[in-house]
Amino acid sequence: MEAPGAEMGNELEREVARLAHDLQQPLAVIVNYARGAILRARSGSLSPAELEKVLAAIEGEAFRVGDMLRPAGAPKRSNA
Amino acid sequence: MSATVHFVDDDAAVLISLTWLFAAAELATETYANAEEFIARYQPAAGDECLVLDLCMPGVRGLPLFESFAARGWTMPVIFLTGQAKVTDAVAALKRGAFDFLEKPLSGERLLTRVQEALAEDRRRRERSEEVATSAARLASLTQRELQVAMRVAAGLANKVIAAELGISPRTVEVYRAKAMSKTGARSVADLVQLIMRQPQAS
Repeated sequence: MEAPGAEMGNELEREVARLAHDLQQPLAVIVNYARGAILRARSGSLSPAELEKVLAAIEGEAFRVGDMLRPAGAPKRSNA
Repeated sequence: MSATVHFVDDDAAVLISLTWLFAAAELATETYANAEEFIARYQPAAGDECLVLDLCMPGVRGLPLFESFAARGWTMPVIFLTGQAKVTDAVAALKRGAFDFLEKPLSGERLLTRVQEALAEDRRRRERSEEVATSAARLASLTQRELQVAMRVAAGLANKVIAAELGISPRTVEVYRAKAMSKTGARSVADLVQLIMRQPQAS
């Protein structure tokens, strides 16, 4: 039988692991958009319209990260 | 021939960004929200292919999906992506023949490189299996006697020895040998050896 403290510790550990996993998703998206933009810029195929679209997507993902780190119940920025 | 990279990930934003990234490298992508969708939709294509698979997904997880590949006759290389790598998972995946096991977030450059290497591996595998099939078809065109002689020639036996083993004259061995060479298209004994060695039972 585990002590109540140990159980809480496990719970916290699981929560941190879940948060870490969730944070990787928007970060992976940002990395993919950034690299896609670099490749297009190098080949001269990145139009201003496309650049604006990809920067907006990166911004959206950054807000998604911010929302994950906000306390529960606080207003979300990614839906703004 | 065109190449296709298949992605399974439960995050739609990840899939959209990957498609955009790979389009910059002129690689076609197919995306699936989960393992179940992949199983339902995937059809092996004629071109080079590989699969990038998130290890932790709701429903059927990455590893069991990969383990079912052999039974389904799917052979493309598989790269696992994971947010929180556990050494035991990585070892399990690589032991079962995964092409690689990468941790998120990884640079888009690294993912592109590994995917391109996986596509090249898929091409090599395809070429090998085509060679095996061609060799098998050529060998199948031989009569039993021609095959018996060809196997012994490939094993390095002299005509006289083969003749004694099969109870025929060295001159007849010559005839069978010439027929085996012309039917299989082998230009030399080395060619013939290669042809026979490519068969799975030979190795």
